[in-house]
Amino acid sequence: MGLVARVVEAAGIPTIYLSTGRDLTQQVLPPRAVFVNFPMGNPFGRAYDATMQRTILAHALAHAVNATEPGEMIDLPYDWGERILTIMELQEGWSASPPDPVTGKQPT
Amino acid sequence: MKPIDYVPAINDYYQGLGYPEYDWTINSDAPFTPLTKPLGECRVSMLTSGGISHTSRPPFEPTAKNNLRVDAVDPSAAICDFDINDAYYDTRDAGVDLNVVFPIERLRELAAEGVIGSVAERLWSGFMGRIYNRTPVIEEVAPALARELGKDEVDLMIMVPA
Repeated sequence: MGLVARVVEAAGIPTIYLSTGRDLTQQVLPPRAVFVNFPMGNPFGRAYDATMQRTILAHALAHAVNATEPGEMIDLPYDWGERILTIMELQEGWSASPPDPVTGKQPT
Repeated sequence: MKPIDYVPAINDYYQGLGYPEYDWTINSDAPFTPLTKPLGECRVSMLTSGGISHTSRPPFEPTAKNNLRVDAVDPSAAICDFDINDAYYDTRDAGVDLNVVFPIERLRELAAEGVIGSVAERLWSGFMGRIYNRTPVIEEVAPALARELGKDEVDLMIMVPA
């Protein structure tokens, strides 16, 4: 998704990126990002919390206006309030497809 | 709370399954197009990669790899008229309130209040699942999306990975 943001930005359309994976976003470096320390799948907060959803959206829009440096990411000051679990931890029996035993590559 | 270090977590998980070390994309600079209009005059669109499809369309494949499907989404659609199929994040909250990952109601409200100029004619859902083959995304699908955004005269694009 960060790659898509870079292509769209390079085509002349400003982008603002909602990050929940801080290190992942810093690697791919979209043009502008706000990081919120919430689970993947909850970048705007919790269900039915319209106030927080709106607040985070407003932060993102403000950063779109204010950012001046390519790749600039700001950290939003919100806490999820409990330990965030990755999908690997969360979903019992979760597993990606194992690699092809011969080629070592991902099945397609 | 300290942010999760996803890179080592993902490396450990997949290498534990027997995959070779993943060749992450690491960039040291980024393109930059300044926003030239006041927010209150901007036409805003939004892209989700959360496996979100309108009920009028086929569902996404939850464990998709290298799926290049990108759907246009009617921004006036009711949030209860979407399906979410994505095995790579916890969709429970999004399943009861789409706005946690694709805040189309919040976006409509900001347009109605004049905080943004308008919501674009089309929102977007695509690039879900795992994408390992980056070349078609960078060379074909993302540029095609950018052209569609140009047709809709989008001034600002909100990118929401899931």
